[in-house]
Amino acid sequence: MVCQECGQRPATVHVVRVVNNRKSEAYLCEQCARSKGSMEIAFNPLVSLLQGFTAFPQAEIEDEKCALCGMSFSDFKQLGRMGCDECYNTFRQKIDPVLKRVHGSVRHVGKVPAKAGAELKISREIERLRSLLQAAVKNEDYERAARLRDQIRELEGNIE
Amino acid sequence: MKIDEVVARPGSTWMNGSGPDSDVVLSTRIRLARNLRGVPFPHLLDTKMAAEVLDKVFTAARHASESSRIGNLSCFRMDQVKPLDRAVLVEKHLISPQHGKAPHGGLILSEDETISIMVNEEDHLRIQGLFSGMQLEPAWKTVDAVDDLLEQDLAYAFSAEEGYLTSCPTNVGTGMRASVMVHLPALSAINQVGQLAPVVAKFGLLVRGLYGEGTEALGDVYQISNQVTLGVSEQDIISKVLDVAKQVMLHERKAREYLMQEQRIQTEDKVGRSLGLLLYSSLLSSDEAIAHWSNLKLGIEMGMIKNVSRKQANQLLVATRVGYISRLSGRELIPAQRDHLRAETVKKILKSEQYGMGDKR
Ligand SMILES: [Zn+2]
Ligand SMILES: [Zn+2]
Repeated sequence: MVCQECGQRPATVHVVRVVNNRKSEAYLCEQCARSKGSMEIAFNPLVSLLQGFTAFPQAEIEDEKCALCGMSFSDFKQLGRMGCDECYNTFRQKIDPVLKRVHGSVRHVGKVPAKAGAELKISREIERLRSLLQAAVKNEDYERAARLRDQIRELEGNIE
Repeated sequence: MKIDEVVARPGSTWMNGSGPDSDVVLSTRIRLARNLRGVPFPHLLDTKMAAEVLDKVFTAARHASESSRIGNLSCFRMDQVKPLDRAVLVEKHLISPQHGKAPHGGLILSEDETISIMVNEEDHLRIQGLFSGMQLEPAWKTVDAVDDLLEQDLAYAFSAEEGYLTSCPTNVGTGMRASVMVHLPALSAINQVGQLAPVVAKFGLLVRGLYGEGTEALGDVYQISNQVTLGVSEQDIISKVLDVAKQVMLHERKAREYLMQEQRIQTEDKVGRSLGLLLYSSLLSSDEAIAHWSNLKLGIEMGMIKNVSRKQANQLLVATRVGYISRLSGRELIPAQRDHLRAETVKKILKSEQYGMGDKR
């Protein structure tokens, strides 16, 4: 493919941009991409992993696009980059096997941000108290168990 | 703080050689990838939206600055940083080589350069803590605090399932990369470094040479870091990197003991020749400089060189790089001019404390 800008050099950079929720794409040579101020998409080993990946549920709607940024899953396969946070929601079923392959897990267990994760923090605390409660019951420490049960109820009230 | 000051000094806090285990570990770095909710990732941003992201993050940083916990943060727009200065920032590990090529890139920096935040790089924010020696815990505490302060102003992209959402799915979850930069001249001298990579890989970590291409790591400097970011907690990552780094340290120290007992004269010879070359040559290429730097540092750690401090040696790591040398002269130089200026710079740094004053270690 020839660069869409100069029409001379071979296109080596795929540039995807979003302007006012509209996606525009261009295949450019390196010089033109640079002069247009495009970010160079550096070599991304994930892309080769994605190309060889066969575990994707064969797309019923391969062209489904993210409502926020306009990227499709085939764009992702080409770039190895998600378009925005909403992409994770839109393509969850397809991205999960990729995450599983890369990380061996699909579930976050680390830090939770104070604002964005207030509810999640509470439900994790509930999980923690429940396991303490089980232990207390097992040890026949009913006084402690009752206290824990009250704490759990109170936290559950905060979520609803 | 002006960017001129930052790029003019070859030393950063991470290079002062004061941290724990500085005989083997040069520095510790932790970075967190963060993005804003509902805003396309930087590679999809048009200039207007990128400018908005930069504004928002700079404002948040100014607010965070008011907290006594992290001290003063300075904000720089990358389009106002000269290319020669940018190269030095890369060599000081304060920004990535890619940074500044996308529109409206920004850099937020603390006075002592231990905190640096790239804005609009691969992710909206890359928060980095860079410390001298083995300091994973302090580095984590620092970036964690900065992250908390920024989140007071910013709505982060986060989901209960995948954690912090990042442009590249390889960073999702904690968004954390913890790495230690280790100097392994003795293991290299007895040809044991090659056995390192598979062992480190068994723990799910990555080891790679820091200078030079391919398998031959110039200067015997390696970086050990985690790859997996999802399904593990920040503490998991830290303890794994710590465990592996401790093993590596142990082996390097053993190898140094071995050199001391079995190959003392050969090692003294190698170290002495390198010191002589660094002190007395008039043309020094960057590959040469880093190779002899490695012997110099080994000599200091093995007590064979007493009048050069660890701090001086570590400063050479930046001061011999192409960008730093070019910036010193203020223009692009042809290689021979560069090699001459490099040789002069090395002499100056080595002699700055050599005869008399200055802290030795
Ligand atoms: Zn072109
Ligand atoms: Zn999207």
